[in-house]
Amino acid sequence: MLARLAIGLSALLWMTAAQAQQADPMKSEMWETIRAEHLGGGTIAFDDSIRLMMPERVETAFSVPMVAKFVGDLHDVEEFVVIAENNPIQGVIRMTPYRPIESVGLDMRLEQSTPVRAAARTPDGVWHVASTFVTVMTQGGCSTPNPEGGASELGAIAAKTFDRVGGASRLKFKINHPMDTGFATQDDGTPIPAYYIESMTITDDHGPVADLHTSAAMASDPTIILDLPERQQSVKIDARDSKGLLFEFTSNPPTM
Amino acid sequence: MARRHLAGVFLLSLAVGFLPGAVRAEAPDYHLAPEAVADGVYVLWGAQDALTPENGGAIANSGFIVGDEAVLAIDPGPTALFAQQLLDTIRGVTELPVKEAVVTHHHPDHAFGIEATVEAGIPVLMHPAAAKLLAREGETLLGFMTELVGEAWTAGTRIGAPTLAVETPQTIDLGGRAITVTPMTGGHTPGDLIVFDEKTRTLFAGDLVFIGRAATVPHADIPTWRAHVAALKAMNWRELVPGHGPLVNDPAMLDTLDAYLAYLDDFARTAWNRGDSPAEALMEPLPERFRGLAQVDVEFQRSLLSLFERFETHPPEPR
Repeated sequence: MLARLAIGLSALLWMTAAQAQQADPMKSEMWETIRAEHLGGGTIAFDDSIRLMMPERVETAFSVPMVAKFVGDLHDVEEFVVIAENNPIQGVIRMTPYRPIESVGLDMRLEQSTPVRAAARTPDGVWHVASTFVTVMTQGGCSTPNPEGGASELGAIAAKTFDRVGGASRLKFKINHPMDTGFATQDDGTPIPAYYIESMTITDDHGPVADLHTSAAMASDPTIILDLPERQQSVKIDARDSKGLLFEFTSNPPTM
Repeated sequence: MARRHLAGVFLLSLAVGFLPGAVRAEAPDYHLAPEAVADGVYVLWGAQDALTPENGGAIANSGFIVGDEAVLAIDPGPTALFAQQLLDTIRGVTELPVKEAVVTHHHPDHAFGIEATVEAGIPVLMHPAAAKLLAREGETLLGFMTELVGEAWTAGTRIGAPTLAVETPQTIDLGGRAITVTPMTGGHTPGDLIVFDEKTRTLFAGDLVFIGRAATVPHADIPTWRAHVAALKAMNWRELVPGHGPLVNDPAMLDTLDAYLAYLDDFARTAWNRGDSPAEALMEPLPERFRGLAQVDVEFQRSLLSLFERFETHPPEPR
């Protein structure tokens, strides 16, 4: 009798713990809507599978860096999504990896202070979600014109690889593009139409790495980071923007 | 394509504190209280804080030096109101006229009182590189200042231009008192000036020296700045008035500033060269010895973001 009660109690406690995991740590009123729109119907786990790194506070938010590191067993990600809740464009990136990836980094626009979510779906259909809150001092990362940019050629891609501590190989590349949101106007009131990179495909000498669907919620001239467990010998990046222009980067072939 | 210039955004380096509260109902007043730090040398101490509606932007040190015939004002502060109240304060101490005002550099907490000072008929001295940066970034920064401290404080403040350029050392005669104004550029910003009173050997070092507060680097070249700090330590002053923080009477008090600059520079270069995103670099805890500096959490983060932004176009040399 006592034993049965104990089992019942522990089961109750276990259920409470499991339910607590489903509660949004950001307590965002928008979460259910965001979830339905961006993640569909999968189970949500607010767990420690992703370490999401961002500044806590930024002065202006035209280009806010983010890195999501997949920790523990999270090597079999089928889909990865970054969402900035209080942005006019909430979905920043949707990535389909073809191989285990250890970290993803990018620069994003934030219109105002907001929860940011990084979500990774595993083959069991579970979305592992990491959340952080970024305070934006001066609003308008999406709705004011970009700060004066470099004079580099549209679509030019610069890439570099780094050997990381722990053996990972990091691909870091920057693509020159205004990534205009369509929400900003020039000083004379003329609207600046939306114009952005909408997709990228990354391939290396081992085959395809990942497909990325990107939005104008990425910063202008964004830097993108991908950490892979193995070192790449050569890298090819193909990007396509919303006017259909194609941009390509191929690293030098390996020396024999 | 309109690309509004916002490169100076990080300049509002002292601004990240709290969002402005409701605009104050009563007329704002800086309640300036000059302290005599040496014979005829007065300082108005700024708050060791971010720009807030409580302090109205008065976070930097200003001062004035009284000679036998005239007065020199140093840094007319963050707003027109501050500059007017500084002049009122001087009139409360002496009947002698304010001959000139020196602005140590273009940052908002030091330079936004320029226009009101010029309007009061007082010539304003500044380094031409600082004048250029003020002209380029001033309007944007005034917008941020207003957003942070509230319109009640910044009302009537306009971005002014200095009347006199100081590119080489100049001596100002206040009557029985010679003041030397010397450029010390390319370190903290491209256009810093330092002010030395020979009579009492008091040095106004502007923002080349931060004491007890994290330094700000949005326009800095850190190695040059550190060389300037070494030169300042070797100079023949008895007391040094920093741009931020209390009176300095021992050169060793500049060591924490130098160590912080060295750490920041080295940390940022190392993180960049190993391929870090600033988002990752920010996760590393600050060494214990810097944690007591005012505003250090905010400033270190901002400094790192601004150094990384610069590395995008000017990569640091590998070490």
